[in-house]
Amino acid sequence: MKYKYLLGLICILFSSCNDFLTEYSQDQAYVTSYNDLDELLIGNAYMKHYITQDYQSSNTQSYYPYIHFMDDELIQNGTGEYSFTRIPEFLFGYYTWQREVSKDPNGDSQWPESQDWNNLYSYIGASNMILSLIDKQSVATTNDSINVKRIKGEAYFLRGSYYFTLVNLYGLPYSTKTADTDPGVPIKLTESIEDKYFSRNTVKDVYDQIIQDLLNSVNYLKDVPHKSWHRADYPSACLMLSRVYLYKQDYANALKYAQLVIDKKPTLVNLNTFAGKQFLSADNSELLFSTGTSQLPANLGTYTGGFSVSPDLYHKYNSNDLRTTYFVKDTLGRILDVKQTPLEQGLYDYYDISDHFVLRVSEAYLNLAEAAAITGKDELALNALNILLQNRIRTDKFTPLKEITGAELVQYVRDERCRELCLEGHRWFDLRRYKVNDLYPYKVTIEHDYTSWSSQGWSYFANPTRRYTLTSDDPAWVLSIPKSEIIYNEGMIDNQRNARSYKIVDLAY
Amino acid sequence: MEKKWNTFSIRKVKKVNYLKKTFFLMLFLLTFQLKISSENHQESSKLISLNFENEKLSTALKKLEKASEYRLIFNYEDVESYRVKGSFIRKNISDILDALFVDKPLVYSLQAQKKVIIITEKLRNTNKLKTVSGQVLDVNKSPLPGVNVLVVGISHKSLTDENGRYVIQIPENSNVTLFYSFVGMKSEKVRVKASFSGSQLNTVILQEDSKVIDEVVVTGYQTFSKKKLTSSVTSLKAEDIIIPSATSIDQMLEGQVPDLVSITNSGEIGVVPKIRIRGTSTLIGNREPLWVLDGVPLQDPISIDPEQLNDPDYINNIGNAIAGINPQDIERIDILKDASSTALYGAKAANGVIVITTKKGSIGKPVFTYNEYTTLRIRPRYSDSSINLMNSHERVDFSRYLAQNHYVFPSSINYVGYEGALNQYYSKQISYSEFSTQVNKFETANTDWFDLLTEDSFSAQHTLSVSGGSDKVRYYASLGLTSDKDVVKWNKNNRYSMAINVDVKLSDKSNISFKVNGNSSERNYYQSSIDPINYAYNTSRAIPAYEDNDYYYYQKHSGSYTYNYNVLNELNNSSYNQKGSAFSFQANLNYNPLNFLRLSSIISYSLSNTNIDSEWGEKSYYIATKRKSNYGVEPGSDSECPAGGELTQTNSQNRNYMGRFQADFNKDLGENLQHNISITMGLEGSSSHYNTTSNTDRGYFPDRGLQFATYPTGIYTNYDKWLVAQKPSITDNISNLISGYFSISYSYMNRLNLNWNARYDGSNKFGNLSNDKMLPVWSASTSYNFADHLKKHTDIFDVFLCKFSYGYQGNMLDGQSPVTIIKKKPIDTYYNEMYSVISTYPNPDLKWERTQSINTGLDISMFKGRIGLSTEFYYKYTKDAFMSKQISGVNGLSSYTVNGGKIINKGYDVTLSVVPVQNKNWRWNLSTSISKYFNKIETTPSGDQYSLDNFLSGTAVVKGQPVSTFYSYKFLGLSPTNGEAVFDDYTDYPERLFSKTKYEVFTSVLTPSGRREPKITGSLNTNLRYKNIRLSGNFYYSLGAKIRLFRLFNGTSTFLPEYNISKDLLKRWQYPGDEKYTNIPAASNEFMSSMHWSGFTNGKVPEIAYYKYDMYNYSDIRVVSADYLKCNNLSLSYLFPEKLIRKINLSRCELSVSGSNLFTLCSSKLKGQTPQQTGFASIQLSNRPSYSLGVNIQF
Repeated sequence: MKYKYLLGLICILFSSCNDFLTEYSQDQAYVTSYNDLDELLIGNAYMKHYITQDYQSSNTQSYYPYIHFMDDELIQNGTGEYSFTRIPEFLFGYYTWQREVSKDPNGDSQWPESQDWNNLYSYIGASNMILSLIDKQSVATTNDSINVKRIKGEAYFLRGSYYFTLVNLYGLPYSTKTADTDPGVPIKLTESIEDKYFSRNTVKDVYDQIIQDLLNSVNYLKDVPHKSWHRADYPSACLMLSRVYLYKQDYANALKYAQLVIDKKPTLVNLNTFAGKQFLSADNSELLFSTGTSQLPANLGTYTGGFSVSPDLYHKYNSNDLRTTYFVKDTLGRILDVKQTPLEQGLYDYYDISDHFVLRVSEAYLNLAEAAAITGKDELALNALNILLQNRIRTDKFTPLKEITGAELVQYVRDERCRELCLEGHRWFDLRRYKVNDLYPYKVTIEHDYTSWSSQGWSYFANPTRRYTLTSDDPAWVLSIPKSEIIYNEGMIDNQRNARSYKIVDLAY
Repeated sequence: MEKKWNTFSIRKVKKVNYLKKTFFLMLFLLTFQLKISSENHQESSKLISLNFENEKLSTALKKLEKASEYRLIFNYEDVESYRVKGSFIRKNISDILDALFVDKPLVYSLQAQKKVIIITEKLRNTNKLKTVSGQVLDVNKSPLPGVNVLVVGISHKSLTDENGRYVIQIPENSNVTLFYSFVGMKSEKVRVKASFSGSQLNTVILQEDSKVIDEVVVTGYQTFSKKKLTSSVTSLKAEDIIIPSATSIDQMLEGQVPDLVSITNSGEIGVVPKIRIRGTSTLIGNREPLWVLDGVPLQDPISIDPEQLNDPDYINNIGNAIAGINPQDIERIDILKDASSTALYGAKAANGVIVITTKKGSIGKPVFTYNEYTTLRIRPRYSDSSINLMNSHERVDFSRYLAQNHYVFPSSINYVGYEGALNQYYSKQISYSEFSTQVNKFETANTDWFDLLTEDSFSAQHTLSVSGGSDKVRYYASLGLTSDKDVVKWNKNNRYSMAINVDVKLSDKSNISFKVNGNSSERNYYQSSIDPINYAYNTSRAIPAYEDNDYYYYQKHSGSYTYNYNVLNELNNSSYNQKGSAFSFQANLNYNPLNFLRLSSIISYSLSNTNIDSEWGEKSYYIATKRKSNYGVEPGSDSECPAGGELTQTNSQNRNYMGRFQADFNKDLGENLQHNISITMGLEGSSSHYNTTSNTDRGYFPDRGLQFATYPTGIYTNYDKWLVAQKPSITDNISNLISGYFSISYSYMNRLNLNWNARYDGSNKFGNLSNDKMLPVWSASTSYNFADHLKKHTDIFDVFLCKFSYGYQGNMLDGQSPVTIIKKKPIDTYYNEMYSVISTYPNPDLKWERTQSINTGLDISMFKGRIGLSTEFYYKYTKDAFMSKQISGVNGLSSYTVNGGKIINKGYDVTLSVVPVQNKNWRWNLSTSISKYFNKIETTPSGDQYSLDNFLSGTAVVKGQPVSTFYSYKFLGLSPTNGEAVFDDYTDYPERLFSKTKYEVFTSVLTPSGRREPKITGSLNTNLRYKNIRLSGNFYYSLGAKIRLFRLFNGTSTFLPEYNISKDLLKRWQYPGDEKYTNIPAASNEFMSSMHWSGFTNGKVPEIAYYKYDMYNYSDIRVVSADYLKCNNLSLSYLFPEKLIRKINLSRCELSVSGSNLFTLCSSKLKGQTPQQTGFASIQLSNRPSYSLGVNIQF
């Protein structure tokens, strides 16, 4: 009879077995629905919004801030009262286009040069994973299938956009003649880890991939509802696509997709009637999409030794342009970035909108104008420009543009682009592509003055100012591939940058 | 009834089918089959062939005894007059005896169970009986109830009562033999001659049958005879290894077990030693052995990350799984070392298993035992040879030398001592005479930091236990109190423990036992960042500790601020208290339905709670740096702790339960029962739940009702920010495991043994690859005992056992998965949505880390155990060892885990034990063992995986080198011009290092200095008894490890005013020519602050060194041998004669004096630095000499 109890015991043991071995974890989970992938988009595929404002040398919390410092939009403040700042040291290598961008003038490493490469590829990796898992999720209702389309569209949008940033940071600008041989960046579209030596795909390959991703994105996002400006939607995807076509000098498509944006969302903010606290905010009605962090305004200042907006940029605006009130503003003789800064100081020290990846409707007008101007559709171009300017110039001083044509019109559009999209991370990329434009090449030479300061007790003195020059055919228009990648991926070609000389200039202090 | 039973069983079998669990089915089918086979079984015994040609009967019986498996008990007087002849071929022993005794007045009685045959004279025909009585006691003079008393030759039997007394009737006119037998005791026989006319027989004392303990091996799942051992197991009796100054059994294992290395980096109380059994066979996984208590695997009270545990500099004073067990409650320890002995434990036993068996009750009247140790620990003193530091006079002289030679200090030094006075004098704050007075004060201060921070301490351990019981119920219960005080004044451990073991015999076929263990402990430590021992070593003796009846504070920098610092103030205003309590319950039920089948089950539950309160008081410097003001001063506006102190509370709870069901089948088969098959199979389920919460709060006022101050936000914005960022953290972890295991052994004539073990685990571990892939844990082993063959030639061998085992073990890392695993996060306030992040990237190609091991050994026992020799050799090959591998950033992450490593561990050990003298008054045991161990890594890691620090500290993996090999700079000599140290560091040809990986650069610039773990370890144990006096000693030696001398230069700030300096620097280079006599560099700024060239190559060469002084500290001339011989323990004990103590009603009283860590012999180059201290990070307390007085009383 004792077997009876024994059997009973074993039965209990086994019947509870299945529950007992159910996998358990406090916070870990498998991907079980598209909702999980939707959450992963926020956690791993969209850029982070960091609260830290200051650039710091060990800082992993910023996205390619140097993009603002390499072009002609910023300068180091010369004369005046010095205030200690390390920003010039951190960004010295980028600001003066050194061979080794991460080093300060003393040769000490100051900036993690591989950070953006790694970040962008990790977001691409997450997008790959989402795209590979999304088709395995169950779809029961129409709502489910709409959400799945939206998630796919967002993931394609992000992957395309990140490759676009990567290829423009680490590859030559798209030249119709050499794009199929110029080295771009490695393309990886699979979700699994590939323990191998990667090599660089050509610029053309990368652009083809970007366009394919963005076309997919446009298709998937076409008729799905939009969650918020934090997430990509149909107009954002179209705008991004029109930008890429413009870079690729495919003007018909650039025009087509710019027009699609305007058809869908023609709104522009009229600065004449603007009543917000700051121009670039979540309330801005022409905002389509933004991801990432804004740190530039906090790192510009009027003090000597720091950086401010270059007078060259400021002088591109005429006196009737309201953007000198709402975008860049003369403050105590220096020009500061007020696009994202509250007009009433002290109200708010938190910047919502990214300073490096933001999409606004006004860009669509500019893309359309540029594509039209280069392809000789002057009327179309002028019309688009006038719509934009109407919203930017004092109404009482506004006269519509007319009778500009050819190279002059193209140059006007490019200047307008500089004025309108300043400090949003466009200028460096734009200057690069103007150089290789087939029809209207534009060669620019940039000069940057750099002053370092030494301490003597509690007082500081300026070392002689060095002037660095970046000519149009300089190899430093492309960043080096991060050293760790070159070391790891045997055989990967680097971008050869040159050592840079300087001349001492005498600035009056 | 019969019918009923049948239907019932059929129904049950059907039910079983529904369950569809293969294992279950197998189990039952087997029991079913066994039942059938048992019916054909008949008791028979071994067949014997012998030939006697008119031999003395006594000789013939001896031969017969040797040939049989029985012990023959007889009196020479009874048999000496007979001679026998006859030839027997394949006969039973009873047939032979019958034939031999056919015409003789002899009878025998055969006790099959005990394998004993008693031969006595045939009783003369008489009906007259007389009644006699007597008493049976155990060695402690306690009465033994339930002893069988038998009159040999007739069937008269009796049992002793609870007072051990018996009454029995014996024939009046015959010589009779009384036979006394009792389970667990050696049997006795007493001859009562016919001439005996009294009625009171002599008292009989039964000895414990110690062979029962000595000759078996306990693995937690099985218990079997050592003669059948096929694997590698070391068994110890706890009482043989007790060290009175230690409070936990793991601290007593050093030097007791071959192939087990125990490393203790700190001599402070309560520190858990790192235990390595047979080397290191994993690179990232856990390297600690598994602890098992009475068959139940134990869990640590707090789970610590393996990476931290593997760090050679980590000091664990939280306590491990067995820290709560009173060593006095432990009966025996079995250390399972090879794959075959550990296979039944599965993957978690990859680093060996230590099986602890606790004491059980013994039958008899209750015996109380009281055991007490008082231990005196000796604190470190400046006069110790190990402390080679300047006194205050020498230190001020050194400061004076620096000042005269214009030594430049770093910009923010703490102005104190000579430099402080000089600074005041230079800045004209004091006059020259005031300056001289101050300097004079410092020169004569000679502050005794060791006296201020440490003390000679007394500790005590008390254990009171009671043991007793009857045939039916046996019990053991104990209470323990340990009050352990460290030489560091702020360290104290208390432990209260209790244990109850009850064994109940339910019937002849079943028994049940219950076990309850409980303990509560309190551990007080200093805040680890204060590190008083390090402080005492490193702080100048010219700095006073007190001034004007108050602490002497100096201004210590914290960033650009300075605050008052005094180490005593710091220690008295901070604390780190750990309170732990643990409770466990276990029940074992055994049932033997058939004599060859045993069913057993274990249920256990345990619970432990650990609360750690880490506190900083408002008067401490630590809080001053947070408050941004000295105590009593308004907090600065940037304060992060405007009032009160800081309290961090960590509460951990661990709950475990386990159930096991096991069937053991053991049967002799064959015509002569020469075949033995034993099968063990079982199912086991266990669950372990860890729950930890941790929280830090500021504004704590412990003396104002344990309350916290609150502040409105906006006043101290830094404090507000801190508050916002401060969130309690909770971790919750449940691991469940279900396992099936199987073991089969075959034995032929007890000579040849074959064994095969396997186990399968299923777990609830989230996303663990081991759930998806079959776990390969199995082993096969064999042994052969040649003793029987050798008996034909010589008598000297009792055992001559050769053994061999092969095992295959797998190991899987947590947190690796073939599919994506995400972590669900709460709301993201920017996106205003819930979000998730990828926590584990899919790693579908990851395989098991596999270790194959071979163990082969020889066990010899000679002269009835007087000489024992055993030797073993092992070879472990780990392939697919987990390594973290660097990958291209294009993948989106920088490294992942691969099966890349190959590790070879091999070694051998020899143990010799001798009993040179053994007689009534003397007994001398001597045993020694030596273990040699090799380890090699056969994998090149990826180029940038290990940094300079990894190489210098021995945590880098280097192909062809053993694990824990550390690297040093190559010292060439001192420069004759300025006394700087010169190194072979590629200064003149840096281009040779261009475009090389870190791995290539460091392995070429640095030189391997040896390993931090020893190659050879060994021990010598001796135990000498003369009458009631016993002297025993345990010595341990370790060879082949290398150690770095303490840093001579303490960073650029070596000569900071508050630091003391090694006396070595008195012998430094001062004038050209000195380089011939010294290798201590000059104390110059140039040497101290010149940066290494590799920092200026724009990244062409990774930084090889930072400063020259660093290179000197880590150069090969600062590496010395860490070989040592240590006296672990010496003890002398005296057992009072019974007559003396009987008067005060004691049955046993023993006094003992012992000393631990009495001396260490080591290289003189160590300059007294203790060789056991292999830690590189900071100076720790060395193992302190201690003296103990012990009392052991039984009543």
